Amino acid sequence: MKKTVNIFILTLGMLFGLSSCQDYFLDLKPQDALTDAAYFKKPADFKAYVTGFYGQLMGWRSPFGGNSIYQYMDGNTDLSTNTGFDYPRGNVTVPAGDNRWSTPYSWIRSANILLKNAETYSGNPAEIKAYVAEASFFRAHAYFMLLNFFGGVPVVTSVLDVSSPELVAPRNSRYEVVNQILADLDAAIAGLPLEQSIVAADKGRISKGAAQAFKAKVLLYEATWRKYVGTTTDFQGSAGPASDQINAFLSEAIALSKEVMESGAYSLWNQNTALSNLSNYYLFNLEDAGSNPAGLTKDSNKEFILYGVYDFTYRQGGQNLSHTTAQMLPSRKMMDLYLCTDGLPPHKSPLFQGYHNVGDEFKNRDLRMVAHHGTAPTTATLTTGLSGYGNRKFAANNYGSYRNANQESSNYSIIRLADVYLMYAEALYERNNAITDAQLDESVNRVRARAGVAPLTNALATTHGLNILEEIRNERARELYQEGLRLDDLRRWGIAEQALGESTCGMVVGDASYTTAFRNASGAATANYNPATFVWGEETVPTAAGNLKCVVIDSKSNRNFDRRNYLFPIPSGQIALNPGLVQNPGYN
Amino acid sequence: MNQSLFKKLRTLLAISLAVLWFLPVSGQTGRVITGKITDKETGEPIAGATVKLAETGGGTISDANGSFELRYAVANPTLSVSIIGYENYSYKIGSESRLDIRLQAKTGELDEIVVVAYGVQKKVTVTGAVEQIGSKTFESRAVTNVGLALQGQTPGLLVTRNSPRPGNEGIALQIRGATSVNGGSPLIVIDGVPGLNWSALQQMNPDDVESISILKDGSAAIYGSRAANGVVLVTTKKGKGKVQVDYSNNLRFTTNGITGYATDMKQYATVWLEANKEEQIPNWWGYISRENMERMQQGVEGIYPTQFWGDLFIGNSNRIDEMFARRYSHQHNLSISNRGENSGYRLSLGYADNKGNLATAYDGQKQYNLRFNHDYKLSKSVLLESSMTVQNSNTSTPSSGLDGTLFANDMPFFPAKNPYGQWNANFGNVGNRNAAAATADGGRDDQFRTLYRLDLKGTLNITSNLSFEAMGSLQNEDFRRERYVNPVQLYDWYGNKSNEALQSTVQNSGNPGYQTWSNSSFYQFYSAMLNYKNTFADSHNLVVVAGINAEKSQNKNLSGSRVNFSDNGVYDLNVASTDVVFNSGGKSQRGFYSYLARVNYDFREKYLFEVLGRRDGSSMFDTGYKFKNFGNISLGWVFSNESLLQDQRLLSLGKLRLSSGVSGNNVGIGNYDYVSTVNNGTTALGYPTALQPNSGLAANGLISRDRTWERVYQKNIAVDLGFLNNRLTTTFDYFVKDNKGMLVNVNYPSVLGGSAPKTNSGHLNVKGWEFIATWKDKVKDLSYNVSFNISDNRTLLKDMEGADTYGAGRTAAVNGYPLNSWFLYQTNSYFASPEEVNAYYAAYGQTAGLLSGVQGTNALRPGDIKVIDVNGDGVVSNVFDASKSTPADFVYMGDNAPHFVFGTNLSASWKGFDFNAFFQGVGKQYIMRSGWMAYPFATVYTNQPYSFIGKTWTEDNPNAEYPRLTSYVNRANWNYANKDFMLQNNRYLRLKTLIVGYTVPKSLSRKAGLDRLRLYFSGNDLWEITSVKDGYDPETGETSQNSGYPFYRTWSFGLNIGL
Repeated sequence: MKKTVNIFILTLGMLFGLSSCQDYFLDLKPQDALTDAAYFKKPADFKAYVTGFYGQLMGWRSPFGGNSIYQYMDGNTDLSTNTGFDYPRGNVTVPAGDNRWSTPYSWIRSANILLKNAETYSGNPAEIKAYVAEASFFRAHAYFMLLNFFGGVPVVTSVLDVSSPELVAPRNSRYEVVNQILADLDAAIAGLPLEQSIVAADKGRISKGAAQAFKAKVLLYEATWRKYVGTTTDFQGSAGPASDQINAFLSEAIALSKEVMESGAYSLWNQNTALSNLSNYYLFNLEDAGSNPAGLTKDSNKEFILYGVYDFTYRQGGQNLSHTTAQMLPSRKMMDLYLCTDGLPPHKSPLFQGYHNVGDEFKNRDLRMVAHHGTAPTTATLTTGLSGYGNRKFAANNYGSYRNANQESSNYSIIRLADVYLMYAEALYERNNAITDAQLDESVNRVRARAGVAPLTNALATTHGLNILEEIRNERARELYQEGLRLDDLRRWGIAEQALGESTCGMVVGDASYTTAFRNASGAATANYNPATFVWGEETVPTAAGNLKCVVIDSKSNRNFDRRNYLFPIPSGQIALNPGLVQNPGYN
Repeated sequence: MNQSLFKKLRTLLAISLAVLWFLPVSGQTGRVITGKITDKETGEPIAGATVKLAETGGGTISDANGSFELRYAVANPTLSVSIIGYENYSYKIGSESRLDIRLQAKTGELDEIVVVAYGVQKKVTVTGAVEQIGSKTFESRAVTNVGLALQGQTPGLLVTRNSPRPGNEGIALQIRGATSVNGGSPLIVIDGVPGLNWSALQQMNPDDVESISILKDGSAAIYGSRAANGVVLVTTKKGKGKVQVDYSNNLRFTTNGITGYATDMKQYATVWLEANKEEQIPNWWGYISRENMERMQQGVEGIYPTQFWGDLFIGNSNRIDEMFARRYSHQHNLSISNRGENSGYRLSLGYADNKGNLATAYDGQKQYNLRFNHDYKLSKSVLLESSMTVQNSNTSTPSSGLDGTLFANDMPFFPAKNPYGQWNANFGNVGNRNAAAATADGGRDDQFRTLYRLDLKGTLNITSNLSFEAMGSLQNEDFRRERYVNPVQLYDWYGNKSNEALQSTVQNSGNPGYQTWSNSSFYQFYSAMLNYKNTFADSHNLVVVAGINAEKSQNKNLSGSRVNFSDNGVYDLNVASTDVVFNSGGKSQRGFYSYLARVNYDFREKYLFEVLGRRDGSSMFDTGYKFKNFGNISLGWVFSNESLLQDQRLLSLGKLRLSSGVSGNNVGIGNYDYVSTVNNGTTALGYPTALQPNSGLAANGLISRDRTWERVYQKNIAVDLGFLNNRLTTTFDYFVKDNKGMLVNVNYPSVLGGSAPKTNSGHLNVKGWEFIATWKDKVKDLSYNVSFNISDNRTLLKDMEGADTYGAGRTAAVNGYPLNSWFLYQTNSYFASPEEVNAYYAAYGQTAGLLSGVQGTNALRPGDIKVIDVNGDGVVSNVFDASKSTPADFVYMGDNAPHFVFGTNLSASWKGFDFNAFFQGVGKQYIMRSGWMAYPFATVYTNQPYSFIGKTWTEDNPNAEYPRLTSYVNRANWNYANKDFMLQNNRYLRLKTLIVGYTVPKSLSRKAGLDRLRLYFSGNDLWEITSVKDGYDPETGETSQNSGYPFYRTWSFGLNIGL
């Protein structure tokens, strides 16, 4: 009996013991992660946190998901015949949700969290100054994305909760958004290090020069938008600009560009001697020594100012890039934009050789033509409905052996020095309605020199009836081809409707009076040409040799880009959640 | 309480205590009766029967040989014998001193004992929806996986798999349909303790299973926050009877089952030719010309000129035949069991090697099982039970080549090898795919999983009615996975190295050469329970169970990878290159602390009542939010026990059951949602580039403290009927589940910038029913049994806070509709003329909406489908607009859940022969094939489905089942994607199991020294009928491209030997 009693007491003890150690089972904290309560205490915390922002930069896998980078590569604009993209054709429907709206707001929240924690940082603020400045840059960057896509959007500069009134706030005007961006960029510029003082291990982090270049870009973008587009895209009820800031913006853009140009940190990647004049090809697939015949590496690149860092080992492009860009073929317009070596557009240049024989048009031309589209062909066929030209910008050198599909890992340029030169020149011309030869020489003409064409001078323009502004703008199309800037440029210049509304064409096929490899003297199609594969037939369009018949890849009857398309529609799901968001004009 | 009753009770207590504690010591004087208890039919001795004297209450228990000895003092007492499973027996002792008793086994299954939560119950007194599956289900099956063996066995339990590959079957269990948009699966409880993880059940030795009970309704609520998806209670076999050694084996081979989805070169070319017949501008893609395709259609092997790939060899190459063939598997079980007076044990060993039918490399799983169950009576009042389990499995598969590249992306006309015996590159110079090469030489992916489990349980009988039970269970699983990749060089037909490498075997940071993962899980379970059981006045039966459970699970992870690895015959992370190295750790823990109780009361097994509850506390919630209560009440009325129904022979059992309760669903809640944790990662920066640490806040810093488990309210009403002495029994259950606190994502404006935690604001309603009928009889030597079960349920989402938007296709959660509903475009006819096409374009906005995709070469023509503008807004579009009364042009067309899920079992035995056929199937399930081969030219660069050929619109066949074929992707999309007619019924009936056995007569087997010898044939999936139209196995699921691995039929032979 005693044993029983003992056991009974023992078991009661166990029962009691079990209930007293409840905490052993219920009070369990995370073991493999810090909580925010213990974070943001050291400079390293701020650095690591802001390092997480770098995925927000545009890259081979765009931050908006999947393969959307190709949407930012001029596909189906006036420069490209690739027809897989609906936006440049004006085919935009109001979506329920849009990553371009929601993703930047998650970035803004992240930046706000860092900025809030910086305010209560107990250490020396100088220790975290650069990281706070980076966060300011990224907040500006996120708002600029929103501005570019949607115009005015709600401005949030604090960390919101699910009950915050800001969740249902109305849209701020684009002018207020711009003010926010500029203020954040000022803060960023003040706190960021010079490119020269960024150590090797941190290359690719935002430098002062990058923030300055980015601010110049925003200023020029907004100044030209206000000048050429005005308030036509503002949503109903939007406030207007507080004052006419156009010239002030342009002046500052000029000053900032100049400061970047003269900072000594950047130089054009001119490797024409080592690379048989193909600088404009090898710059965009530059990886390690195997990526080009001269054995140059990314180290040699001082041209990229703001860029995404990629690496074969640590961050591959993850995009079937070489294969896909090879199919994003240029349009007639693009091919005719390349200058002749005398610096004149081909339709004004005596050096232009016409289209009679395949490859003639490549003669005496801008080096970028070969850099972008491959060596002048000797034969061509128009039997598959394609434009007839090739494309290779961004494609890996020795694709298939040096790099396989998805492994291409060159850095992704967002702003490079050539762009800054062209922004500088454009801002000067927009500001002053004139630009001096000296100013052209320190900017546009450096880019032209690398492309092997004669400089642009006021004399050349006068002699040949060139419009200098148009030449600067066309220089952007040539130099920044496929770098995701064409649509932005067409919109801010207010000419997107016209430029995108025309048929995109391929090679000149000519007719009985202008024979080519495709139509003989009797006007009949040769064996190289199967007109049946071109569903939109032929169209007579202006070419460098006058109005000639060309194959049509995408007919103007398909192209409906409209003023409303300058901005994307606010996702309907967001309006449902916040009826105070007024839709952009034309999407109701 | 009156005095005499009190006295009686006191006497009773005193006597029983005396019997329990002092009997062996003091003994009793008087006469002695000895005897032996045997089974009336088999003559086998019955151990463990209670032998009692009614007059004194004194008694004993029969030993392993069925023998008993009892002393008594009173004259001519009445001796009664009782044991579960047999009719009670009583006898008035006269002068005899020896009595041999032959007990009649009970036939009616309602006298069965059913394992329920925290105890056992007579089936007749069960008030909840509980089904029990016996060990017979697992015998002689050519199936090692316990989960798979449950398929179709009981209504309301849906077992699905999406692959036949051993160890990679993708088995899912669901009881009574979905419970939540967040999913959830049943709680697995093995011998009273939750299993460590899902594989703890799947990789049990099926030979160890005594029974499996499925708790389907609120009666599971005693498991609280984990009960909403039902509970699977597994009980393992214990020692019984004399020393028994059993050996059984099973040798099996596989043959390919349904492979109708796979086309060959001729069929592939036919799809192109048929599609281009309808095109004004043919599209031959890289194959250039009709001539090429016609050669292929004729099966001409040879060199073909192509547009992108140069001169290419095209030949007959059936991937399925090249890669899959008969494979042999085997399984062995050995067990020793015994029960003596004070202890019993059962030791079992199992081994299985299961292979899928992949011919190019080993693809299978080896499983080792050991279990030792032991119980020991320390004294009359203390019982100790222990159980040791080791479950080990090694799953080994190729590290690549079994995905979409198998036959979707790797077309059936590039032979695996070129004439030089080298791996042949697909598309000549493209050369990035070859599933045969990848599986054979591309490396291995091996998973090792070992579960160690130790259970200890002590039971103290405080009085004959009250006992205390303390239990502990420690479970530890070591999981290790090693995957390595070998680069495989491909060659073109001429023996030149291919331009591109075999994609899946290229080594890089996303596909490292060598990877090792290690995961260790440790689970502790402690429980202290009081059990009280008593009968008052022979009529009032009361059982009370109450106690505390405490649980804690801890996980530790470690993984490492090195980018470059070359195969030198030694496989370890250490031998890979150290150039680029990655590693990561990780730990997590969660705990439960719960109070629980159950009270059962019945009056003469006629009026039944049960109430149970649990108060669950969990570490997953913040202080002050940790505890929640769950419970259930159920009632039963055995109306056949009413005197009114006593004098008839038709109805032998009639019982009504009602239950109502609430339980919780443990999904959608992370371990630490109530705090904002910092996630660490890396970002590539710098030149030379390296990884820098980065961090972010989980959910961007948004947390919730007050959200909790989903609460699922369950109601059940059921009728159990038995007819003709229970030869025919039926059960019908109707149930309603309401998940009223369903965790849903509330949509906040994106301006918030973070993903707000889900909130308990959703409501899912599920209604369903289950029916079982069993006929069991014996005619002379023929015993037979026919049973049929069927069930169905319907889900309905009632509250989804936030904006409700959806698109065409299958949509997981739309308010007012079932889960996973189909929203498809409506079509009514084909365009008959160009005028109709033009009118259609004119009417619906030329380039508006979906029409924007069918322009130019993709423009619609006669034979294409007319999509109806359902909402009449003048645009056929994919846009959902809640502001419109009919918000979209796609309409609801049913859900994709399996309905009318059924199983039927036919079994018979005659003399030494036994036969069992088990069919299982689904009566209705709407699916739409998805992926690259959902319909012809869904994708141009993949294999193409052949099943549409001959069924599509042509001028001669304007009333065809499907619209015109087209080789243009956008138009194919217009014609086929998400269109109403593409929905098909995935209905099937499959012969899951066929077993034919023969037991050699004892007279013969004894001569060989064997107690028992049985030979059998057992087959799986040997036959089926299905309404699937496009050649896929009905168990595949919807996707077209990842299903190249054929389901197979299994043929097996085996032996059962008893010593």
